[in-house]
Amino acid sequence: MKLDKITSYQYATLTFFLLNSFSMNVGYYTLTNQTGNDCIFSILLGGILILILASLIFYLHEKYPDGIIETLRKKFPIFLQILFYPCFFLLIAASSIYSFSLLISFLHYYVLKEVGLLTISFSLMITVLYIVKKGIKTISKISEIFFYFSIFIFFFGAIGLIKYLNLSNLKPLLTTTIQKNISSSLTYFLSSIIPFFLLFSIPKKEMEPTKNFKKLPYLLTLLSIILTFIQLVIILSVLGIHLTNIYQNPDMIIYKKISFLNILERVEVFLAFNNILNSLFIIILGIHFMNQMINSLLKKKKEHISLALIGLFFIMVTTLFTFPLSLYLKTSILIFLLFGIFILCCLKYKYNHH
Amino acid sequence: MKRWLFICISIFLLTGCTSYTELNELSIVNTLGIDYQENKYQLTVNVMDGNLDDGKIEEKITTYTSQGTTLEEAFQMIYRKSEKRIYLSHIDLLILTEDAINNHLIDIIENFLQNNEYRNNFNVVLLKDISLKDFMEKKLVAEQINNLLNTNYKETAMTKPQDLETMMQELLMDKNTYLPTITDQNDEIFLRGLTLIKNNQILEELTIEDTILFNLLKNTLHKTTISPYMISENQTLVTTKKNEIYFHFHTIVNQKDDFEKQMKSKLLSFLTKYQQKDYDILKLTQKIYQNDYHYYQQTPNLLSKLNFHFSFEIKEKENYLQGELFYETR
Repeated sequence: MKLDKITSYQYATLTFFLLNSFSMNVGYYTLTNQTGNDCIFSILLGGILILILASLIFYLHEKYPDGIIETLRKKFPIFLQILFYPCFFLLIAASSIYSFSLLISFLHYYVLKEVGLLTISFSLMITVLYIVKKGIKTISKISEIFFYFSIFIFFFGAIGLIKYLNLSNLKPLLTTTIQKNISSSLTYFLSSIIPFFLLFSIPKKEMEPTKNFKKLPYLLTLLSIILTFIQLVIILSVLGIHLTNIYQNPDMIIYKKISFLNILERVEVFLAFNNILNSLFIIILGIHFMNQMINSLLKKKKEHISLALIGLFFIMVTTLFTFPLSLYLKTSILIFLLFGIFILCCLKYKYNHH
Repeated sequence: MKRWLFICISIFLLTGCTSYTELNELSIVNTLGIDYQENKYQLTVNVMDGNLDDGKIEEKITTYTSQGTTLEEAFQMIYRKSEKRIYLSHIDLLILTEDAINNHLIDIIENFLQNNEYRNNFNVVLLKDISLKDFMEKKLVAEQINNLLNTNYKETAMTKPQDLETMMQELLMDKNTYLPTITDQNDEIFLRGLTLIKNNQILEELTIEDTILFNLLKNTLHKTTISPYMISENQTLVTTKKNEIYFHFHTIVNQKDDFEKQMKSKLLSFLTKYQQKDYDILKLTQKIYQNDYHYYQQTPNLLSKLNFHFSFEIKEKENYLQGELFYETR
């Protein structure tokens, strides 16, 4: 198959999956524990902030089309390169390792119960490295294919859960303080920082030049927020706030209930595929970003070795350490700050992409 | 090189094949019973053993018993007795005894929450007046007890099935819940009224009539008989306005005479009885919490301040009989 450029649709689907990583990386339970039933407003408020960030990122992407790595390498003085390179590398590595460790424990706990963690890590990492090796065009093509699948799974699950919906479980609303609501909205917003940063790292030259490139990514950003909102409403109305608070993956618990005419039952493993996809793309793009950074330093020499080393490093670290959610959120804040400094530096050095 | 790479990747991608289990190598747990005697959990498990016989899988029930200071220890003992893998995902019924509930209800629930193999949507019943071991040795299939509960729930409203997840939800709300109760009478399973649990301890057992009233108020009554009335359809609407609780019933009965008056008196005495016992049997305070959060926050001892109002919309059931029912003998 000949892959020329990333289409706006593929870029949009990539945005969709990266934003959906919230459900795995932060989790619905984080919001419900912070604000109870009011967390549905947090999604809406956080969603508005995400849309603002999206418009800013898409605007900056137009202005600085080379992506982060190329811009750093070409236009920044050496002392700034020394500052930014390791910071970005380490922060993306930390967040990707966090996502990777969450995904393998999710697979081990819900899907491949009998298979060892190390075996899952190896097989998952080989798949990820293979996709990364194929390049960004293949990654975006895969995201396009799985987008239809993801939407189908979502509606399949939602239809199966209709009979269990009890909307009175959503009450009472507006019971928590404004500060708590803002704090949980920011938590949701923070989950979008790394996804947008990774999207910004894709150079524009890899994308199809179309006038309406911004429109579709906006729409799918909005779709991701709407689906997260619907998912949270479904979880709360099926389980109630008390049970939602005690499960790390309440979505998997409600999937266990689904039964179509008592014939099609036990579909949770099939529906878990959506969670896997939501986590997979952030890992793939994270490793892709790290690989690109190493390549830009080594001038694309021995790419396979650098990829293999990244893979081994991920497996080793996830086997030895556990990463808390706070680490992921702190990483997001740091990336947000560094990214702000990076943009200010871009303005200072009057970067001209022509 | 590519061939070797393909083989290497295939080895990792086919990891699911390494741990496959044939159906006849599984002991599928059908019913699980938990008792607590002499500071030890008594675990009784009825498993369906799949035996391949001429290509067909025959099912037979085997009972395993064990004991341990913790539930995990008791499970370990069961594993040591079974030559097949104990498979918990298909459990259909959990039987608890009074001692198990009164001593370790929360620990039992935690065990179910921690073990991901369970699905948590199976029924839970309380066993009374017969030892768990004797009851389980009857080798009943969970389906028999579940059918007994479901049929009675739909046809007589003398019980109400309770699944583990709803039970957990109710306990997390206010530590109160209920369980359908079964016993053994003349070597047959016999259904009794619901048993109430308060603060994770057994409070008391409802009479059959109280269980029917409970179902009527909960809007979970399909049809029943409260002598001399036969209710063939009912819908209950519960609304709240501060501490005023309004129950509105749309009921189809065989005869209207005095039905409203009698039912009002029965329902009021039922609700007042539990109000006085400080037991929120219908979780009405939770309803006020949902509908009027600020009033709920401002009102201490809300349950004791509740006032109940009943209104009925009664329809008499058509019987299509024309003329006299009994004729004079010639």
